[in-house]
Amino acid sequence: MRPRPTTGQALALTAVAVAALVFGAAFAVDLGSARPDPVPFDRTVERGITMADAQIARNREISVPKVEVFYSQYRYVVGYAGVDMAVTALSEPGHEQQFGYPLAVYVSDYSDKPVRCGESNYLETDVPPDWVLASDASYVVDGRARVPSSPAIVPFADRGDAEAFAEDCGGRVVGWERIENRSFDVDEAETVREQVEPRRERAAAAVEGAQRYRDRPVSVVVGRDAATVQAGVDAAPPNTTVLVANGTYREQVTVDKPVTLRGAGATLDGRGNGTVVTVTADRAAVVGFEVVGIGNQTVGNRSASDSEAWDAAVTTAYGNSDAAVTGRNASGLYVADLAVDTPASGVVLRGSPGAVVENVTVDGTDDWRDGFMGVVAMHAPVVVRDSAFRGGRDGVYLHRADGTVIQNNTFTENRFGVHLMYTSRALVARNAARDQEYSGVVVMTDPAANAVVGNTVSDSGAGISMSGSRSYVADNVVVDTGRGLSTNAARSLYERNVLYGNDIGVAASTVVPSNIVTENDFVANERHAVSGPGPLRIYTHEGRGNYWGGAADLGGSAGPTLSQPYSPTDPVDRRLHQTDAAFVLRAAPSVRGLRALRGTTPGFRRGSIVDTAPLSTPANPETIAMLRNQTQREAST
Amino acid sequence: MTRADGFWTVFVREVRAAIRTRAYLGLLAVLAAALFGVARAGGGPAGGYVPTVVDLLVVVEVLVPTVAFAVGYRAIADPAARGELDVLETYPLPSWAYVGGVYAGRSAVLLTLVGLPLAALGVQVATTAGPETTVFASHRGVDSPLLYVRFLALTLWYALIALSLAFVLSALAGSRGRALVLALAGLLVVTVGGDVAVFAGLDGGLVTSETLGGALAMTPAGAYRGLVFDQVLYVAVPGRSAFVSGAVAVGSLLFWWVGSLVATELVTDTR
Repeated sequence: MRPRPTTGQALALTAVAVAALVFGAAFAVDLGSARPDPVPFDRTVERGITMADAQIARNREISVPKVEVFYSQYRYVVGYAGVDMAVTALSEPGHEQQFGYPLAVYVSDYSDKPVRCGESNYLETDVPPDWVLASDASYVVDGRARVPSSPAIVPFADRGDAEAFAEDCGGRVVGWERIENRSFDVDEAETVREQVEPRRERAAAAVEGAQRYRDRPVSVVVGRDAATVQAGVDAAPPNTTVLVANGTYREQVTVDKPVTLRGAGATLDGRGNGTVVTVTADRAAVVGFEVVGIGNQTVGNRSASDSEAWDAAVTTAYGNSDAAVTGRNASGLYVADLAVDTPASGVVLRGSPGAVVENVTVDGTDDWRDGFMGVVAMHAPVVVRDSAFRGGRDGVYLHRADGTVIQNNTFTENRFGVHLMYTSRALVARNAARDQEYSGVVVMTDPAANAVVGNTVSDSGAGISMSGSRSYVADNVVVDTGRGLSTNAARSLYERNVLYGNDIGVAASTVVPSNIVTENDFVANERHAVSGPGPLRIYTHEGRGNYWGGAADLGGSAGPTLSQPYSPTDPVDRRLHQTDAAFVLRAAPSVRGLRALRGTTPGFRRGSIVDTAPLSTPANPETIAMLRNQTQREAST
Repeated sequence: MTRADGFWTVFVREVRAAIRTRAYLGLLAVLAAALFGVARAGGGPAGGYVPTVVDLLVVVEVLVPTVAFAVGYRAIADPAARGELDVLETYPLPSWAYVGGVYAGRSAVLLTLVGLPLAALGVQVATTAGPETTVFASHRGVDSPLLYVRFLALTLWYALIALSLAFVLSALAGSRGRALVLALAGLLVVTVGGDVAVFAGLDGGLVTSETLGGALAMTPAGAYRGLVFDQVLYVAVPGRSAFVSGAVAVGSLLFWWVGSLVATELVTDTR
């Protein structure tokens, strides 16, 4: 006879049974089948569209087809404006390693929606599209339909609707597998690198063209042929020079014809009353003056505009800042050899494509809050070079000035040295900024394809602060700032920069890591690099990483790269250049073991950076040697 | 007294003895500190279950057999040295019931030592892993608590297997001194030896690319690690699935588990 089990025995049996059941169930469940549901687009981490394009789309009610991707190893849903942007991102090398594979891809579904190619063939619909799985959709490609930056690829859940749309707007209908394997003409950061030289050459050509205005024959001499500068301009025939003799001229001048206004030791004094010289004609030039007595109105009346453009308020306010010279629709305006002392702005260029500012010094207010910009350029590409800006708000402020080139200038004691708003495809090269309140170069509002090359920023709040995408940041030297370089521009290339003696060398701040950061030198920074929210960033490209002061192999390294990875966000590694004891801890078995497997799950990791092939010698050895000598000299005095 | 009663009596005696042993509390505390410390240093719990497993795997592979051997290395050797086994001969208690009872008792101790901190860590992941910002819509990706439960199950099983291996050596030892030496040797073989042997075999041509999975699955540590990759970490390495043959690994673990318990019983019986 079997006795009844005791309570203890019953409990033990129950515990074993429950454990077996729970553990068995954990293995029985298939984890691969769950597919997340789509989320509203504004809740995704958005990529792919510049703010300027987004503003244009909103303002003109253009519908941009969207894509959202759920990655297996990335916590946030990533949204792409434009199917081409999504496909380009999905096919990026290393994409899968960083984010895992896509669990689900949804695209905008225009089926049963009143979609059409409207004004200028822009894609329009009165009812916002739903979502459909990318693999289930049919796509209309190569038709007339457009979005602000590119031809539109329009997805439909229903193939019949796609065919009907193709009837109306042209194009053909294809499936996801054809879209997925297509390559799109998207400017990548590498392309921008190749554009640096062409942009420089275009700027040089613009400058050369403008400099010819210096040689126009003199038709009027102010002080001899005319009493005032304005009278001289009024009397001069087009394509001649109005020469202004030595002396001070207390007046405001309007130039409304293609003439060159040239001073010879002359001072223009606006008597504190508005802008001193206003140019409204093409191909005019203002050369060789000292300009004083500029009005102190920093911004115009924002509400004065009746334009319906989305940026009308900015245009009116910033475009009407008091200045030494203002160009309005003055293409090819040449402003050179000016010495400006201003409580507001130096030169304002509105809609003046090809304008050139060179060899100008602008002395602004001591406190940036009181003054305004050295140069404001809006709505057209200009060239600003070989000039010096001290004080005031921003050295150069760009608003929708795509393709502008800013070269060889010096910026001292401004708020920002160079400030890009809604400006894409610009070149900011070989400028020197120091003692900037906030930042040497700052790029805002998510533009694309900018190049920031060979600049030097020192003793400032921050060095170079990027945003947007597909930009090229190279060969810059940032010394003694609070934050050397912020990599908040996605899918961009950051190479051969020197970050020396900053509180923070690089602040990695994009939520989606997609940048290439390679061959930069990090030396003597309090923190070489820090990382914001988002998964692990890998700062190595094609087997080449960066030079990290302090990083070293135990056995000494013979090759160009170290065999041990370096992580500037790791609590041990980041102290290697501060204390040698960190070496001892780094060699501990547990520390080594812990690191070994970590790269398996980069998408899940937060806030960290790893360089898998750190350089054993600096990429810019001369610059580093020079900076080290300088530091030693300063320390010894 | 029935045989089942004998098993139960021994089991209860072992558990009671363990409860009286304060040192186990210390071991639990140290183990918990080590596991939480490693996970925290690795940053896994903030990321999710899979990264936590990735952080833990290396240390768990060393710590779990170590704790299992600590719990089991004297389980049979001690009573044998004290002559307790000879006394038991006079009771109507078959040696399988005795060995089974001791094993079950020590298992309860071991599962508590290993399971509690790991389960607590799982709870920590559940409460801390989450998006850093709520501005954006977030989802779990392929991460899932079930993956962690799988890891827990595999690890507890691995602990039980390590304990049974410790039991064989304990039965073979016969004295406390020898028990310690044998246990240390056994621990080295389990944690390092198997992998090094496979590695050497690979180097020497004995193991090939085709047989590597099988060879790994033969060793307890290799089989355990293989199953963790197969059942848990596979989500992190898309496109790879055949880490080791699952059937071979399970078979091998069963072999080491049941085999060493049977061996323990046989050795104890012949004493």
